Amino acid sequence: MKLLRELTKKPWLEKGFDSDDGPGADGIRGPAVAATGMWFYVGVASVMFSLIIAAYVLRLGNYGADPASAAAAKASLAWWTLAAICGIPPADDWAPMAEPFLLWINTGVLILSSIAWQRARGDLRSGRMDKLRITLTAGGLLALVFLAGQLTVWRTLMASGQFAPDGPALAFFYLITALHGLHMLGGLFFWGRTTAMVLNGAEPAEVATGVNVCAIYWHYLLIVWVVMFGLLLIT
Amino acid sequence: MTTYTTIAEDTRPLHHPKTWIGKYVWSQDHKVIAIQYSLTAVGVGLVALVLSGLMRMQLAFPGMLEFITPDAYYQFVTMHGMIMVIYLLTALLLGGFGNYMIPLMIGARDMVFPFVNMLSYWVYLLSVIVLMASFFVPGGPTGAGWTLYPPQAITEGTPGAGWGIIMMLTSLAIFIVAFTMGGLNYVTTVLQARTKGMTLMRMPCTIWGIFVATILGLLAFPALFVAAIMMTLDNTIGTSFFMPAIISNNVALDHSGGSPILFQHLFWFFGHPEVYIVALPAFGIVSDLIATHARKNIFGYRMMVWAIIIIGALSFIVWAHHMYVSGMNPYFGFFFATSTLIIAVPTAIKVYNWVLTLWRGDIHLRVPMLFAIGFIFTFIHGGLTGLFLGNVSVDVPLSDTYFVIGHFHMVMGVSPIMVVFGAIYHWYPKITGRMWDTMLGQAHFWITFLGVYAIYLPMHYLGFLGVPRRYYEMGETAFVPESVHLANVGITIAALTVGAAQLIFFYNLIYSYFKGRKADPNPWGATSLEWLTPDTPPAHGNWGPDLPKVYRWAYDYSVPGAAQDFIPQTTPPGPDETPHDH
Repeated sequence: MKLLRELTKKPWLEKGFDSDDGPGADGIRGPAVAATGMWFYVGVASVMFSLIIAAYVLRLGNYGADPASAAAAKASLAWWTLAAICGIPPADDWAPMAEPFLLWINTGVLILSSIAWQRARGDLRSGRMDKLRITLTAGGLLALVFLAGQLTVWRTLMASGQFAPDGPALAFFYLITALHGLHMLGGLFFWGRTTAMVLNGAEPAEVATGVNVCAIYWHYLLIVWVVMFGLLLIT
Repeated sequence: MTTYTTIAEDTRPLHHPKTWIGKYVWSQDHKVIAIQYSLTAVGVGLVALVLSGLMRMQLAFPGMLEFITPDAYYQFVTMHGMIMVIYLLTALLLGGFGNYMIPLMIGARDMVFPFVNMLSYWVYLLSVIVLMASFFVPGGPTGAGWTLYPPQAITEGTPGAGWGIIMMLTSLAIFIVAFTMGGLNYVTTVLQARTKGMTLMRMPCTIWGIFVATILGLLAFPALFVAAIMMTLDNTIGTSFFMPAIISNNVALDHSGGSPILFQHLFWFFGHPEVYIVALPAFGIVSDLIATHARKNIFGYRMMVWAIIIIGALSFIVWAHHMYVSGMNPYFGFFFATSTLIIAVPTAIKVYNWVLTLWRGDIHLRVPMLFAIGFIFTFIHGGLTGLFLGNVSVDVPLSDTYFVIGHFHMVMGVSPIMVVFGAIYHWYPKITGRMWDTMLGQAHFWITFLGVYAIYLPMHYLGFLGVPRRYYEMGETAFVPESVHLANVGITIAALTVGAAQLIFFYNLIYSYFKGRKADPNPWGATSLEWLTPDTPPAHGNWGPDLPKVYRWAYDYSVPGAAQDFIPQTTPPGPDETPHDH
C-alpha cells in the first residue's frame, strides 16, 4: 500500500523533504535498477505468452465436444461460449499433436537448470565463489542442453513430416517453443556476461545483480514453459 | 552486494564521447538520442503528410493525377495511417519527448541503461528503413488498410499482398523490439533515478503522462507483435492462425479453421491502448504548458495523476468498440460500450481541470499556449464524437463513413499534434538555446488551427450523409448529393494549405536555430527542473557537479507573498511556508 500512500500525498502542502521520499528519491542507484528493468520485461513477456494462450484456447474451437462425456461437454461449452461472445465461429479442425517423450526430458533439464541457478544465488550469498563458478556454469549449460533438446524435438517432428502448416496444434507448438527459446537465448546472453566476470575472478558484489536477476528470469522462463507444456498436454 | 553510490557520485553511465561520431551518431546521451528519434519521426511523418495530400487530390479531383491508381490509393491510405500512428506519434512522443524530458525533469544525468537506449534508436531507424523500403519492392507497399485485417491483407488482389505485407509486418516487429528497449529504460529511469526530493507526486504531469503511456506501450505492443508473427507465418509458411478455409479466384487456398476475428481482437487489444499511448503524453505535456503560461498551479494535480492512471487501466478493456460491426455478440458490445463511456469520466475530469486552470489565470498567449488552448478545442470536439461512436447502435451506421475519419483525426491526430507543436515551441529555447520568431509561430498556429477545422468538420457532415470511407472514388452513387463533391474540394484545399503552412514551422525552427536571438535559460519563468540546468542547452550529464535537490512540487506559480510569480522546484521552503508535515 506504499504506492497508495504515495499517490494520496498532497504535494502542494509539503515543502522540503525527508530522506525516505520515494524509492529513488534518495538518489540511490543499485541492484534495483536491473531488477526493475527485468520485472517490467517479465510483464511484457507475460502479456505476450498470455495472449498466445488466449489465441490457443479460442482456436481450439469445438475440440473435445463429446456429447457422451458431460465434463468434456461442459468444458467445451465454456470455450464455445467464449468464442461465440468474441464472435469467433468454433473451428473443428483441431487435431491434437502427439507430444514426443523428449519434451518431458527437456522439462526435467530446465528444472535442473533452475535449481542450479537457485544454488548459485545461495553460493553468492555465502560468498563461495569457487562453488559459484560451478553452479553458474551448470545453470547456463543445462539451459543450452534444453535448447538443443527442443531443437531435436523440432527435427524429429519435421523428420516425421509434421510441419507447422499441418495443423493448428503443430503451428502453436512451433510458435510457442520458438518464442520461449528466443527468450532463453536472451537470458543466456546475460548469463555469458555474468559467468565471464565470475570466471575472471570478480568480487561477489560485482556479479550479485547479474546472478540474482538472471536466476529470477530463469525461474520465470521455467514457469512459462511448464504452463505452455501443460496446455499442450491437455489438448 | 553492489556498493551503493549516489547518482551524483556515479559517473559510470556517463560515457564521455571524444569524436564527432561518438557525440552525435553513436551517442548514448539521452538528449542526442531524443533528437535522433524526433528527426527520424518527423522525416517519416512528412512522407505520410505528402501521402495524405495525394489522397486528398484524388478525392477532390478524381483521376487528375494519373499515377494515383486504385491500388496506389489503398497503399497511400495504409502507409499514411501506420506511419502517423506508430512511426511518427509513438516514436516522437515517447522516443523524442520521453527521452529528452524524463532525465531532465526528474533530475537524473541520463537514462539508467544508456547503451540500450542508443540501441533502441538504431533499431527504430531500422524499422523505418524496412518500412520505407516497402515502397520499392515488387508490388509496392501493402494496401490492406492500417488495420491489416486478414484474410484480405495476405490474399491475392490486395495491393502489396506479396512483398509489401511481409515488409510491413517485419517492420512492425522490429519497431516493437525498439520500443520495448526504450520503454524499459523510461519506466526504470522514472522509478529508480529520480533525484533527492523528487517524489512520485512531485513529478510534473508531463512525466506522469509519458510514464503511464510507456507502461501501456509495454503491455499493449506484445499483442501486435504476436499478431504480426502469426500473420507472417500464415502468409509465408501456410499456417492457419487467422486464415479460414477460403476460395480465392476460384481456387481453394490451403488454409482452414483460422479466425480473422481473432486477429481483430489481438490488433485492437494493442490498437486501443495505442490511442492512449499517444494521448497520455499529450495530456501530461499540455497540463504543464497550461499551468506555466497561465501562471497558475494545475487545477487538481492529484486528480490529473489519478485520471492518467485510470484512463491507462481502462484503455485495456475497451478494445472491442472498434469491432462493433464484426458480428460479435450484442452483450459483448454492450459491455464494451459501457466501459468506453466510463472512460469518458476521467477524460472529462482532465478537460475540466485544464479549463479551470485557465480560469482567472494570468494567461500569456504565447505560441505554446495558443497550441495548448487549441488542443482543448480539438480534443473536446474529437472526444464528443467519440461518445457517439462508443454506442453500438450509433456506431453501426456510422462505422464505415467519413464520420469516423473526422472523429479519430480530431482526437488522436490533430490533438496530439497540437500538443507536439506547443511542446516544441515551449522547449525549443532550452533545446537549442535560441528563440523562435513569434510572428511566424502565430501564423503557423492560426493557419493550422483554423485549417484543421476546415478539413475535419465537413467530414462529420459527409459521414452523416453516409459517404463511405476508404473509397477510391464515389462513382455513380444515388444517395450522395452533389454538395459532397464541393465539400471534398474544400477539404482538399484546406488540407493542402495546412500542409504547406508547416513549411513556416520548419523555416522558423531552422532559421532560428542559426539566427534566432539567444534564449534566456528560463524564458517562461517555469518551475520544473529542466529549466534549471547550469547550461542552455543542457550539457552532457545535465547538472554539472551536483544533482538538483527538489523541495516542492512543480506548480508553485503565483504563490501569495512570494517575490516572483514562480518558485522553482529547487527552492527550499521559506520561513512562512509549512515545512514537510511528516
